[in-house]
Amino acid sequence: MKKFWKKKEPAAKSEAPADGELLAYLDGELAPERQSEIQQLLESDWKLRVRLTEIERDIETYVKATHPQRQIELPPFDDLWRGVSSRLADPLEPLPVEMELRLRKREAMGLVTLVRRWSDALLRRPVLRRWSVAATIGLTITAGLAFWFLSSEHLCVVSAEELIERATQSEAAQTKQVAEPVVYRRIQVKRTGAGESVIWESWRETGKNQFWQRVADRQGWRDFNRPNDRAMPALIAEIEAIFRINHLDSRRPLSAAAFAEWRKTIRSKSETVTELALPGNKANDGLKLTTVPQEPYALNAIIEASLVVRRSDWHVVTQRLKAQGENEVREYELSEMAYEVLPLQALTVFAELAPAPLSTATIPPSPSLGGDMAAPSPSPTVAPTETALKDAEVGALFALHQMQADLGEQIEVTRDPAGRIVVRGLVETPERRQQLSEALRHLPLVVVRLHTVEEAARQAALKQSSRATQSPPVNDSVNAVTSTAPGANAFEQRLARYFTERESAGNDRQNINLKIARLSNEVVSESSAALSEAWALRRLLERFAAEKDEDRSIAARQRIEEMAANYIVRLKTQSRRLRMRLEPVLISIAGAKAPVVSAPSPSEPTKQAQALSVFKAVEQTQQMTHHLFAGTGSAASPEEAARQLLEALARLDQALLRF
Amino acid sequence: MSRHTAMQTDESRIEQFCREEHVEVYRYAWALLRNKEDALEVVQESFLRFYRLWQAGKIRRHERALLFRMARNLAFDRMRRRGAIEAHTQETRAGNVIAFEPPRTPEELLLEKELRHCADQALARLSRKEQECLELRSSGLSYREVAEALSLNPNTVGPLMARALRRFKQAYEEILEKKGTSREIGSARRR
Repeated sequence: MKKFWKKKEPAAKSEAPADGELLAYLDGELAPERQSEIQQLLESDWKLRVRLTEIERDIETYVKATHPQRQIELPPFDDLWRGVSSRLADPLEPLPVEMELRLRKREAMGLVTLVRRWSDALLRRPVLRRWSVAATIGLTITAGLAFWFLSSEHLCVVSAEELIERATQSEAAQTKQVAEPVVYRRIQVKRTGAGESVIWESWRETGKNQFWQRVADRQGWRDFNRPNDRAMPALIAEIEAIFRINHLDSRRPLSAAAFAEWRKTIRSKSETVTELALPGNKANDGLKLTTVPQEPYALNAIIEASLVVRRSDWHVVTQRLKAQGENEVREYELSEMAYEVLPLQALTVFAELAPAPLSTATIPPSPSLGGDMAAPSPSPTVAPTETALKDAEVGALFALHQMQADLGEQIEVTRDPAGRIVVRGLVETPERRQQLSEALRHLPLVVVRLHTVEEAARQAALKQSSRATQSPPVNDSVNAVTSTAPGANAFEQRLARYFTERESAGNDRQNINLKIARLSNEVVSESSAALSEAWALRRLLERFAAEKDEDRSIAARQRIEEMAANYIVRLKTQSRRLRMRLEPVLISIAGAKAPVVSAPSPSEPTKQAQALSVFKAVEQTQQMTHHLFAGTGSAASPEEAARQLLEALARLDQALLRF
Repeated sequence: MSRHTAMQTDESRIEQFCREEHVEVYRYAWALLRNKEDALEVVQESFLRFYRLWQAGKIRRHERALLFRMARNLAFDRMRRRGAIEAHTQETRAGNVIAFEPPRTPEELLLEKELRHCADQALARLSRKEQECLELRSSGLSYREVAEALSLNPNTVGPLMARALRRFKQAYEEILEKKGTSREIGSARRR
């Protein structure tokens, strides 16, 4: 078989020496092998001999020309030696600094010199030289590739299948936590390069597949619930078309399950999973699955789709799509701004608008909605400005805040397509509805749609007579706590011992139980109230996070600040009360003082991030308090549980201080 | 062996080393400094420093290269002190030359002086590194020692020296041609 490569002739291996090497040959400075190689070359090569002769002449010229200069008067050796020997006996002077440094450098360079010599010896042999050059190039390429591989985000850590499976499981697990779940998403939709961006909100009730959505762009918030709705912005229409053509469920944007279904329809594709850093988080906390279907691509066909999931909980946070346009490739990015799974009962979205097709059908193509709203509305001919709408929105929130209707009551403030602020929700009693309506009545551009729980239940029963399930009213945690028998778990036993030790011997068991119940009621109630405040604070700051201060009037800004300050003041009071009630008990049980724990600082020093930090601290405290005092118990020992709750309280305090 | 005897042994060894190397070191120092007293002081100081390093056990190899390097550093220190380092490469070398040959006629001495002048001019056209390289090689240092003394890569000494020789030859012949002394040189040499 003919060889792919041709071995070189031995003669060709010996390269013709350069002048420097010929001079070294003349001076006997070459390695013996090279010396003999050049000797052989000289015997066969006339030109080389001529060059050698020329070099000899150069040497001759130099030596002859400089010979007289080297004929200098030498000093007698004795004179020279006398000067040296007289100082040899002197005490040793320290070496000059520069010489010391030079010597140290010399020692440090010892290894380098060794390597250099070794490489010199290698390079003197042509065969070894070729191999060493090839090896060096190979090593350099390997090192470069390794560096690129390790430093870049292209590091596969899980397979595409695993990523999809885990993200789907996570999604399913979240919806299972709530009865009749409604998935709420707030997504920012961007088209890369076009500079367009809208905010898309959707509520999807998974059981009956009810869906409601709205969008905000430069013109404000608009509801739309069917394809080709005039209220639908062009960007969303494009996305809908791409979803529809590619058999992706447009009601489930950012859904891993929907992505998985689409993925299954692609017969041939290439996929990669890479690590990346999510915005504002630590490095490599996200995973990106990129799926590239094989050509050819039809119009609006997806040519590349990627799903970014958060590694900590496998939650999908971003979806990117590249779609084939008529003459170009369009790129879209859907980034999650908010996500929640809420119980259907807590929402009035579907109650107000259901059945969805009917509600959409009632929306006329023109901006004015007509008179289906009972509340006062501005003249349809005069469209309110964006600032006026924002002021009205803040005004409504502020009025609800003053009535303390923002602390857990199922009331929401939204905008309708007609450009009005709608306050809708459920209240406990007709009296409460009357109070809130009075507080909101004088506000311009605000429409009130409040119902009592009883009314909503009646409506639901009428709609689905077959499903006569009546949801129980909201549980009062305090009542639940009082019904819990103290002493049901180890922590309660420790509580009983604590109170027994502190009280006089005459106290009976019933009295101790009463004290435990009172303490439990107080701390659970306080922590629940704190959670409501923290929720309200978080919602408030997240609601206005995407907007600039300049877009609101000064009065609106002041009101938002006042509301946030009120929440914080109340949270601080609640935190202090919790500590006062709990610390003596917990310290006694834990047997140590509360450790000082530094609160996790928010990734960004924004109010929104700080509010989130406060919320997390409150939520943790509330959960632990409920577990310990509301009878659900804790897996940890009483000492450990007490220590953990002390730490949570310390964290809460620090988070509040940082705000 | 007592300490005194050991010191005596050390002294005798350094004296032997000094006796073997002093001529070339002195020539090198003189070539750099062009001054008898300065060259002598540099040589003495070089040997002294060398002795101290050697006694401290800090010299393991390339003794000659280190000696020349120390002489070079000391010479440059002196030149720097007297602000002559730049002028060194430009100045015309002359003087302080003692011929060991028998006395010559005034014509021969004039011609010799002129040739030395041409050689100086040709050397001045080389870079300082090239000049030093040729000087050290003329002093009998190996390529590796030259590289050590001048902080060069040993592989570059050969090419550097070959280039220096070629450039010197070209410059020297050019200067001679310009002065029209080639014929006289030939006749003087024949005589």
